[in-house]
Amino acid sequence: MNRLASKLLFILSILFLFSCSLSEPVEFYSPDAGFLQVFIKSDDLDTDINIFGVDYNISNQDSMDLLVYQGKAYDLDSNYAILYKNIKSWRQEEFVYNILDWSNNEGYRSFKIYESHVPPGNYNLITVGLIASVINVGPYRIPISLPQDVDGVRPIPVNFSISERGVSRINLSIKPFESMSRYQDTYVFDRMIEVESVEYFGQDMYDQIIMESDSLAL
Amino acid sequence: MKKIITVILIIYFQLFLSCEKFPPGDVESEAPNNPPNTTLANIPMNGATLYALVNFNWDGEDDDGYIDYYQYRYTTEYLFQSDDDTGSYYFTSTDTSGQLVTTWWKIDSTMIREWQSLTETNAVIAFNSLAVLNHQLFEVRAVDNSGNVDESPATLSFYTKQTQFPETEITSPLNNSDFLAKPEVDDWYKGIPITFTANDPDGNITEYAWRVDGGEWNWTTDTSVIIPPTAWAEPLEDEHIITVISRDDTYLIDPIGDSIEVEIYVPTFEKDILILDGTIEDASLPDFDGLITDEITDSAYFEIFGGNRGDLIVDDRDFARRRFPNFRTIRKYKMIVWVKDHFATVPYFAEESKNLQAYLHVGGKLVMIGSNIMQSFMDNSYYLSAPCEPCIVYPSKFSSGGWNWFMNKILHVNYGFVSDLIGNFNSAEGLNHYSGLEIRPDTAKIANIWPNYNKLSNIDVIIEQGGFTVPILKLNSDDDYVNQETCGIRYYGSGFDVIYIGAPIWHMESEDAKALGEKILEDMGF
Repeated sequence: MNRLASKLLFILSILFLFSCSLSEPVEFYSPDAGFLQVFIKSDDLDTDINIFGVDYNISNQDSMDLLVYQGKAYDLDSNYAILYKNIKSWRQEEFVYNILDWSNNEGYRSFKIYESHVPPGNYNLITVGLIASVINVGPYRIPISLPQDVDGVRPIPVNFSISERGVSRINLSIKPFESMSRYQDTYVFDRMIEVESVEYFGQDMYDQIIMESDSLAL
Repeated sequence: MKKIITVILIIYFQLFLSCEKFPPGDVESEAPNNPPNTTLANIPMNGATLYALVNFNWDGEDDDGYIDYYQYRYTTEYLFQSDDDTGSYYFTSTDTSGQLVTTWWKIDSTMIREWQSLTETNAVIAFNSLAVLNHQLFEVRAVDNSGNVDESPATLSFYTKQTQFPETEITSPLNNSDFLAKPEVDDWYKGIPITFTANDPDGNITEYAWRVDGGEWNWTTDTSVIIPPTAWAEPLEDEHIITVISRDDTYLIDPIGDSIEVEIYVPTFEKDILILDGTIEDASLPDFDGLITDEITDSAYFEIFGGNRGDLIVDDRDFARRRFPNFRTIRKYKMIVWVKDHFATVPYFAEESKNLQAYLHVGGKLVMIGSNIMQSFMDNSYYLSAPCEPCIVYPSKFSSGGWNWFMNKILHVNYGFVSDLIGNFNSAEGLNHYSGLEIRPDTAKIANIWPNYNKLSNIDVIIEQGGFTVPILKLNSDDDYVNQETCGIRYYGSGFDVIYIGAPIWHMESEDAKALGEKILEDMGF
């Protein structure tokens, strides 16, 4: 009887162990992506530049074309997601924004430079290609170059997370005039840029972005 | 079952009893540490005759430790050919008649190098080879982690032929050249550029060195350098000597090198304005009637640019005849006013552009006024290869390199063109801080300009100015092609200032010309 009970117990144990492996492991679950938005806006406090003793305040006539390209978001393991202009973009492209677009009532205009699917997780860095070629201020038209041996792609450390079907928004602030220092006949563009804030939105915003994307051209 | 257990216990007991000390032998005293050994690769071969730069590879082994580092040295025996059939070394060869010929070499002197340490197992060594033939004995030995040295180093015996010294030449500047210099560097002035070259008859040049006035050698691998102001002996304004040498791949240094003498002038700016009159008073002058003389135009410019003010020292010079002044002269002037009223091109303007650039880079100022200037600063080669009138047509791009660099880098025009030969200048109107000025042509001076439009032609029009440059004059014209385009600009430099007006000034109403002259003088700090 004891021998029979032992055999029965052994068979039940084997069956129990097998039954454990029948459920789906957690790591096999693939979550939906979230959205990462990146906005850039000139600092509203940086509105004038002195050229040869003359202060030139920002005006509607001024312009500075900032060329934005090659954005990426890096997670804690240095894996990266490529950032696109919008969620329907299928390749990275260059876009130009006049970061001196000024309104006396609202200050500098803010530009959404990326809106992209990104896997959920924790991130600590984005990189953005930022170069400019010319600034028009007052009566001047002055060429711009990056400092010698500086890469056009600028790393911007920022801790943020992406949640499933959530929206994370990074607001960047750039100082267009303070970033400039003169060398010979050009301004050297030091790209003083900082993360102004990181905002998080829920699925309502996620759905809204998808809805608005219907109007975007492929 | 009990029997089996009993047998196993007996076996264990037997094994225990059979145990001895392990390892066998005396472990109380330490074995002596053996020295390492060293092996040389068999390339190059023993007895070979080689170029003095030789690549060696070796290896070392240590049975009771590891190799810590290696040491090498070489011994050179300088040989000379002996007529006697005795000597330390000999070579045999066969002459044209098939006879065996033996050449004997004796040792003149010997030089033993110190041991050099290194951790690598290879080295490229330049052997001292001053004699016609040199016997070299290369030795390398390993040193182990206990400090034991291989007592029998690996050796290689071979011969090297005499190495030759490199020869160095300064290619620019030429001997007895003059320079304008200032005691400090800035955005524009970096120093005096020199270029040089060197040749090694039996090898390669690895480095160059320059020095000035017998100072320290400055080694470099570049063949062009800029000598900064701090390198020169005091006083800066003096005659100075530049010397360049080179070193080849066997570490032989050109014992003589190349030297030049240069004269450096430092700006004094003790005078105010030098008017360079580039006008040629001939048929190329609009409405030339034979009565317009150099004295007439000189007198007008002198008055326009403050010659009669009393507080300014103003001189003039006939550029068309005497060209650009030398550095000894030009360093005295704070500003050059370069005027040109005739509309024909003057290719020799370009010949002086480098001198003018040197003057500006040490802090000078330039006012350039006249028609068809854009075309006058074309490089000679371009002018000759593409004869045309006008060459500078809409929209001509002026780039920082090539034949039109002067327009871009000095006059600060990115895009521009020369207006038509048909008269199209009604007037010029001031812009920005020149607002309120109006420059009108003197109808008496332009009464009969061909082809009878009574208007000045060949006006320089600026479509896009360079950095830190503002428009100061715009053109009023019946010609829609140029109407309201910029014809005068002001450049605010970090090292020098420029005003460029693309219309002739002597042909203007005298009051307008004076007003413009006064404004220019005020704008340039006079």
